[in-house]
Amino acid sequence: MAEYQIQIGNEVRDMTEEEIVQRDKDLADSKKLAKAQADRAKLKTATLAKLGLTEDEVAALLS
Amino acid sequence: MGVNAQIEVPAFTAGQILTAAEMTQINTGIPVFATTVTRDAAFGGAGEKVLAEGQYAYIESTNQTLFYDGSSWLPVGTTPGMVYITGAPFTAQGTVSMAAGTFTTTYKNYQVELVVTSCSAQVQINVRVNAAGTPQTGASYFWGTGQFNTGGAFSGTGAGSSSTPQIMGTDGTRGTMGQINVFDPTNASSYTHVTAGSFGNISGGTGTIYGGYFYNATAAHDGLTFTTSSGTITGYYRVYGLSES
Repeated sequence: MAEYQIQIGNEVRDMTEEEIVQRDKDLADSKKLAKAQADRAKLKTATLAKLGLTEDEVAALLS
Repeated sequence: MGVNAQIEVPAFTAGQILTAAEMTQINTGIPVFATTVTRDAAFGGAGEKVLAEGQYAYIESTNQTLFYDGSSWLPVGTTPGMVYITGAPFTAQGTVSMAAGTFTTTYKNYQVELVVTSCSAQVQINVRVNAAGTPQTGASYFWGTGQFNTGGAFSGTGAGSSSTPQIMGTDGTRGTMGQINVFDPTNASSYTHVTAGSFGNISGGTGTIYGGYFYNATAAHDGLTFTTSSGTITGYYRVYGLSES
C-alpha cells in the first residue's frame, strides 16, 4: 500500500491501515466522479453538435 | 444612587489635610485582584468599601476588566459575535482533520476559513464532517455545487447518497480560499448542514463556487476533515464559533 500522512489539528502522523484503505477508496471514487463529469461534458458537446447549436445559443434559449 | 457614587470630582489645595471620607472618595482607580475569589473577599468587610454599582476590577487570572452592575460582575466592552476557537497550518497534506471536540455545544453554528495557498495540482476537496474526531466516510452526503467561471459560463455538479462531498476545489497554481459555514453540528437530533463559498476550480475553469450538503443522518459532529481528490494542499484553516449575544 502507498504511504500516506494525515494531519489532525497540528499533529502530522502516518495513516493507519484503515485510513490508508479509506484514502485509496477516496482516490478511486474521485477518479470515477471525474470520469463521470468528463463523460457528461462529452455528451453535452456531442448533443450540441447534433443540434447544430453553439453553447451561447443554448444559453440564450434557456435564459 | 449607590454608596460609591460620586457627586463631585474634588480638587485639593496644597497643604490641605484630607479626611478619610475624602480619601475614600478619590479611591476610584481600578483595583487589581489575583482572582474573582480575592476580589469578592475584598469588599464589605471592616474598613473596606461596600460593593456597589459602578465598581471596576481587574482580574489577573483571566486578564479581564469587569464592572459591577449592582447584582453581578460583567466584562467591559462588547462581547464579540464571532469567537476564534482554533486553527492550524498544513503543508503538502492530502488529509487534514480538525481535532476531536473542535465543535462543541458552546456554539450552535460555526464558521471555518479554509485557505489553500498552493497545491500539487488542480484538486477537488472533500469537506467531510467528523464524529468524535473521525471523518464520516459513508455514502450519506447529499451535496451540490455551482461554479461561475471567469468567462461567465456556469457548470454544476453534485450527487445524493455520496461519500465524496467535493464542495471546494483548487486552481492548479493558485489554490483556493473560501468560507465554510457549519450549521447545528453538535445537535444529535438534526441533520448537519454545511455550505462553502469560495473561488477556485471544481469542474473545469476557475471561478466563484458555491457548494453545500446535508449529512443524511441525525448525528452530532465535532469537526471537519479536508481530503483531496488527489495530490496535496498547503495552507491553513481557522475555526470560529458564532455566539448568540
